[in-house]
Amino acid sequence: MSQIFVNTLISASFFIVIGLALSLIYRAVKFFDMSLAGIFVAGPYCMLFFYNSLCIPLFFALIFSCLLSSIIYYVIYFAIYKRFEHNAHSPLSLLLASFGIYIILQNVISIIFGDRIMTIRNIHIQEGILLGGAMLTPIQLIAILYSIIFVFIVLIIMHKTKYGLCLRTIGENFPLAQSLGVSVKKTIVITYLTVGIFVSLLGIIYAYDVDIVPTMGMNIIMMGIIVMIIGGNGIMKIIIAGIILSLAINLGAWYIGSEWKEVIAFAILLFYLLMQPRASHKAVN
Amino acid sequence: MDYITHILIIIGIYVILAKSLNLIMGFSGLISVAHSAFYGIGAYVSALMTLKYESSFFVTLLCVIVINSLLGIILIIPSFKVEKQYFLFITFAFQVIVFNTLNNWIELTGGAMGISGIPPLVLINWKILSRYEYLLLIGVFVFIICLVCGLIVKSPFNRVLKAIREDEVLALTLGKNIIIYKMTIFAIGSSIAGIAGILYAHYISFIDPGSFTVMESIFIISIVIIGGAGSYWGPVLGAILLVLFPEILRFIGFPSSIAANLRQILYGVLLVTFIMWKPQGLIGSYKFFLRNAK
Amino acid sequence: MNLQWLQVCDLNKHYNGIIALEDFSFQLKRSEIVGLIGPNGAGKTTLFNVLNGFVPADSGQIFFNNIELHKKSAYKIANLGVARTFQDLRLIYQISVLENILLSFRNQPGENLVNTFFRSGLCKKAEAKNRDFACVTLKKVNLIDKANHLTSDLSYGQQKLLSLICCLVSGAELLLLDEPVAGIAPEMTEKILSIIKELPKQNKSVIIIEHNMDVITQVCHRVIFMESGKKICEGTPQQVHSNPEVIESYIN
Repeated sequence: MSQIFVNTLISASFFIVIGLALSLIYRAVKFFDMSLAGIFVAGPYCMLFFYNSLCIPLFFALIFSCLLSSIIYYVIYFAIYKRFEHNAHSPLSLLLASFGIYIILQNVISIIFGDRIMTIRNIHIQEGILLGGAMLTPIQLIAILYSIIFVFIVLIIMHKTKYGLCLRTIGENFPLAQSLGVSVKKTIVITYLTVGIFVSLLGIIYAYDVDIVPTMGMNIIMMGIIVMIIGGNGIMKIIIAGIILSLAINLGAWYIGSEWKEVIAFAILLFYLLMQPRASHKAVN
Repeated sequence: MDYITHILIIIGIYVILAKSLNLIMGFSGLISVAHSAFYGIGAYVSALMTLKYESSFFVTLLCVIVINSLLGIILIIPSFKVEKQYFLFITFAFQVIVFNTLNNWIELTGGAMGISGIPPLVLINWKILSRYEYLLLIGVFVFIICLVCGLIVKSPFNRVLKAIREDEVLALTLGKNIIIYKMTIFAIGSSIAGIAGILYAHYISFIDPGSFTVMESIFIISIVIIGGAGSYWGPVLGAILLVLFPEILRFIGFPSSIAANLRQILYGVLLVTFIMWKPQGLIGSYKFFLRNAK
Repeated sequence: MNLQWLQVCDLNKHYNGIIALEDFSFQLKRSEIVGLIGPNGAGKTTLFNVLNGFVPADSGQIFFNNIELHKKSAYKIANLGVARTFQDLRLIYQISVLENILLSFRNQPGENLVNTFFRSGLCKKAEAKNRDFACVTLKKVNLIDKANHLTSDLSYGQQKLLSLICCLVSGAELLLLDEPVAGIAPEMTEKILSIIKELPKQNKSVIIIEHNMDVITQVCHRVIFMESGKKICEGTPQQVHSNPEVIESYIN
């Protein structure tokens, strides 16, 4: 039983980080950027290259991987999304395009590294800690801590820096955001680079816990999307949503089998969207 | 010759899929990644009914139409309350749930192993055995569906769909009950996708969940966009091109290990390129997705 | 109680504490043109949204032709005979001018797919009739040469004219016009105003939101001045124009 609790914490950590990352990007560019899934996968594969193949020391390999992934993410933004002004393309088209970009990224990784499941863990098996009857491996503990640290960093940046203020205003009031003394363009760039680093790092942590396969990005991102939709706009709400989703999935997996995890998650999403009060149309100015 | 017939049959199936998605996406503007789920439901329902109950073609046809229409209508209900992006996620959720059900409910669907030994179709007395007969059957269906789409496209009903696509608020102001329109077209589109599933299942005689994934849905979306969403011949052109192109690549001789990946990259590149730079597709005229140009 | 043709009683609407409409009441007869003026944020568009059915009022009643409109959905209200234009000019831009007009006809059999498939003769006849009427209307306003052009190709003034024509063609008896002549050249303004002035003769009534007092004076029988969701005063254009509260509001 306590294993469920521990598993809940672990999955919640991943969901919350991804959900927060997605919501930051959403604030910046006002659409759900699916290509982030590709960055999540790019992180560990870069590690595979830098650390496992080139045998660069761990610390530097981490930095290179995260930087490279983040730069790739920025390049995607620069080459594709940025070309089109905020208002020319609807969020729907950008969302679809981001799916396309994810497909490209994932298949490029497949071509370079192959489709098989790979491991980037070192040979020694990770010894788990016993925590009140439940197993918790060191990397899983790192994941939980990472999510807590990430939440704090996001809170600080959003509320204490001018970039955070700008980011918060872009969604609400674009002209106001432009007059805040910080370039909106710069804010978006910084958001992309930062999110790229954190998400690729999350991917690396995930890969150390579970083996990697090129197609794993989409699943995680969808959990992040569910968390974002159910959670809404606030950081606290996303955290709560992440925990609830994770709890539901892990409880459900315990009772009806872990192969149904995705179904549970999406059933929750469907249920949530079905229960929405009738949205009044935007005829209101 | 056999190979060409096979390719033509596959193109025919994708024309049916693309045309039906075009009704939903191209004319009504409802982006759905659930199309391959409806395709799969058609395939599996037909396979199971034929194997377990030896039901006739028309009975399975009716069942698939009813099941897909009902499911389609249910999916539309929340769309009234949420924006179009969220509708895409609703369809995504549906797609994943269907895929996982097909994959995990082993007692019913055979799970990842799929269903094999699906008997050929029997239309009254005509048992469709050879590949040429199949091509004929597909041709007939493509023809019928093109006729049906043609009737729909020229009607005032379609005009309302185009209004809903661009401005739902205005459509309501003009007295159109938009939810009925959405339900109708989504039910029709999903049913036709199910029909494609039936044709596919009995042709290949073996189906597994891997053919009915999100990626498959996105592939069909690509066909519609690249051909030209909201145009009559666009989906046909798109299907022909997107099915033929990788076959050409195969002849050029890429190693088969990366051929599948290259094909996906190609689709991805085409999808992104067309959405961002040529949203009206090759022969369409509707600049899909762009916000109102005033 | 003897209800007027359009009777609005004590409408209240607030958004998160901001009051958009407060105890708003008024009435309208057939063949009347009423102007609705007031500063930005006074609640004029909100009133339209409530009348139209897009936004439910928190409390109050609306009677149109003795039918209670409150809580009816927007498309039903439209089919009861209410048409509306929008401040930000809504049209379907990626279809032709003619198609926009054809969209506006109510009760088209061809809009029902069952009819399209099984009663195509009926549909064709109705469509032909609508098409003729649309062309006649376009000729009257000198837009016939643009009939098959994309609506996005029209000038802003022509688009505003088109949206008014769509309201006319719908057969609606109550027209809600939100700034029908704002931002367009004098010629087109004249054209549009002359059409509006004719509407009472066809037994139609109009509520116009406008900021231009000249327009209001030219066209309206009656004017209502709103501020902060309340009806401040009501009367002929001259009366309202010279009302001290109104003047003070404009100065501020």
